[in-house]
Amino acid sequence: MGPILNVRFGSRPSHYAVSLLAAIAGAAFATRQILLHIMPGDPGYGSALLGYHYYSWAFIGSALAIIALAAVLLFDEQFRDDGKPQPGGAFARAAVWLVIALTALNVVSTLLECGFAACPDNPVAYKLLKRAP
Amino acid sequence: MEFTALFLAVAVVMVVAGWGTRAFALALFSATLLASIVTYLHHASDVLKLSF
Repeated sequence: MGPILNVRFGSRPSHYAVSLLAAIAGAAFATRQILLHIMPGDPGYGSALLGYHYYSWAFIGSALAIIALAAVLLFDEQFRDDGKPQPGGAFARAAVWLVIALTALNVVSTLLECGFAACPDNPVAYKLLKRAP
Repeated sequence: MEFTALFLAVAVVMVVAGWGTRAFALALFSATLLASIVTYLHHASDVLKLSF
């Protein structure tokens, strides 16, 4: 959400704060999942991508985001108020739509996977796509 | 179901950030972040029932 606010209203420290809070929460959630499978001999949950499971990649991505946001915040010049913010270009608008579309797809996939009840511990099929016996 | 609701809330927050007012987007973001943390804490002590 921070980048979307930046595209629309220009760079502000509060927009980066929003991104930092989201990244810290993401890192905490991923850490919990990593710790569930930390015991030696545990094969981890789900398939691995380039040797790491998705929750490990989620932690790496969140940690890198925190570092990148801290680096961006080092440059005060971007926060100088010089009138109206420039609206984002076509590329930025397309990126915003892409992220919103990906999130909407997650809404659909979790609904199909879990239905209207709590998600199963080990979902192996889409609940709403299963035919009644 | 709660994860569907959370993803939906995040999507709504981003739509509001892109087309609504800034204050409303920040308020919705705060509520969604809080809901995510509450959901996390609710499940944090769940026992792992998987066996391989």
